[in-house]
Amino acid sequence: MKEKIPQTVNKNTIEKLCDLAMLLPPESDSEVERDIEKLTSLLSPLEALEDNGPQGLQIKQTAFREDITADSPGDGAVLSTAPEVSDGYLCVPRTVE
Amino acid sequence: MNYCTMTVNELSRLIKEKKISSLELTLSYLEKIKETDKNIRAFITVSEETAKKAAAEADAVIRSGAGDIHPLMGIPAAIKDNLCTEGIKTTCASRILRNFVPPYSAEAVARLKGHGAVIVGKTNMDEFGMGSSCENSAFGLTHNPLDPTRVPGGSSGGSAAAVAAGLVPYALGSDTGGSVRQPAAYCGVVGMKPSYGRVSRYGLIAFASSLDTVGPITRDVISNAMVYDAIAGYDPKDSTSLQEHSEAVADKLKGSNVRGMRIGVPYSLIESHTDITVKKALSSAVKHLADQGCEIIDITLPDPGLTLAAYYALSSAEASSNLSRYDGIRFGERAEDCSTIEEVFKKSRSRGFGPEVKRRILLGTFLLSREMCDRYYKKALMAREMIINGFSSLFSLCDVILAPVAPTLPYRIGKYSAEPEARYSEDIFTVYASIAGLPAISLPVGKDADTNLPVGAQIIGRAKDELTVYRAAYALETAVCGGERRCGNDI
Repeated sequence: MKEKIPQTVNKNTIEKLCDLAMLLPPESDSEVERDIEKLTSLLSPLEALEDNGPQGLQIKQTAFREDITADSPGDGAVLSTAPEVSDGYLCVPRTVE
Repeated sequence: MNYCTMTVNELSRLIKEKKISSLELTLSYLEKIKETDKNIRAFITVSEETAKKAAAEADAVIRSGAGDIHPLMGIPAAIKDNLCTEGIKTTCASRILRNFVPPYSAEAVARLKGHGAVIVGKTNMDEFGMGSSCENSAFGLTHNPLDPTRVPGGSSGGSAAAVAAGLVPYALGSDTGGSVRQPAAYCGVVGMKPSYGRVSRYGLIAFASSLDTVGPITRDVISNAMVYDAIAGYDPKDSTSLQEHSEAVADKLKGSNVRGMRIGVPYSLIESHTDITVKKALSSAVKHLADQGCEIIDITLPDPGLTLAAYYALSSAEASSNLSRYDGIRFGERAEDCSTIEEVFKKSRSRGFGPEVKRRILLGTFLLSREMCDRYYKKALMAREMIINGFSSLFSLCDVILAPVAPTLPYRIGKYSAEPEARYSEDIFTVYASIAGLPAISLPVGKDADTNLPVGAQIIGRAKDELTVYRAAYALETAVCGGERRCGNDI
């Protein structure tokens, strides 16, 4: 199980966030730490809101479209944008040992 | 005749009256792009052959005399490079999509093409829409045509610059937190952010799905309304598309009377958050509307700090989710020196994304983590509903709101390079309409006496009431420009 993200931003936090975001660790941890701290200070007005908000407040739910099939653009069109294909398959490094 | 300073409305008339062919017009613009764009860098891709072919097809339709000619038939346009265009490279100004050629067109683009529009190219932008200066592109920055040492704004900076420089008579942009309105203001042109859901997002490469909209940029209000009419309306392929009928607006503007329209003006926020030039221009705009019989009402907008916080929390969170699809597998660039699948993901993404995009992905990932989700993300969702309710109350007092677009004039290139996040607070006026899903149009209302740089104001309306927004904008433009429809500088 992945470890928790602590509430303060430090080198460990940055590494974990990069892992979750599928990014390489940055060259400068301190720059990223500074960026996230500045951005979270921009967000500080949100912390003043009550946990459940004003009475009667309803948060809109995601709009879903009808769960119906549509015509596929076809293998050719879909694979035309892939970096590497072979015999109608996407090529990737080995994923199973 | 210099077609490059004409509006869509004027060109439409010339084409209908067969005073010019689409091909002749298209060649004029392509020539102007060749001469001028090397100094502005509004375009990432110019699709000359495709444009000439489309122009010839439009001319064939016009010559055939079959049926009514659509107002946009045969008129060249540019498309922001985050809108998919079948067969034409679509990069989002990112290395990770630098060779991506979509197999389909965005719905907004398809509708324009269906009406005979001629797409001449794809315009520069801040990478994936993240930015407000057009300095965050992987393919170089765009310069403001009115002062090349300054930014054109963003993220639809290329589209706004292209229209302002007369490289195209109109362009499509996208607006998530101000990205059509702010560059329109900085470049002295007209930019519309429709109500959320009014224009299909199908084929708009996603940044923040609950905030993204597609909108037109033009030289004047009536032309903007013409393009809006062509792209607005329900699309079943977009689950957030508004199902209500989209009323045409362009033919309702001339002769429309705004006497008695109630205009809300946030005087206190303008006083505390704008510089003297913007204050003067807004004051003048208020007077113009009052002189036309509008009632001016002092209002207080919802908390600006909370609105900005909600916008950046929601947009970063959604961006981190939306951009997780760029994994180097199905499309886009793939790093080559990889021996595991995880290396493919991490190296492709790290090399493919620019610093601003990575910054926002990391922030979004942080906000959506289990420990932070309640503290920021869920509260941002609550804040959005509170802001929407706040606007509902305001719109019982007024019909539209007149506000600045940006706190200052367009700033110098590089101003925020040392502290990129310092520019986020410049979005203070544009994020309101974004968070609340409201229609808002930006138009030039004045110029700085010393630099001649334009100042834009925005008119914000009730959700789904684009007609009232356009009517107010048309009236304001008439007063500001006199009889001359074109505002801003002619390049």
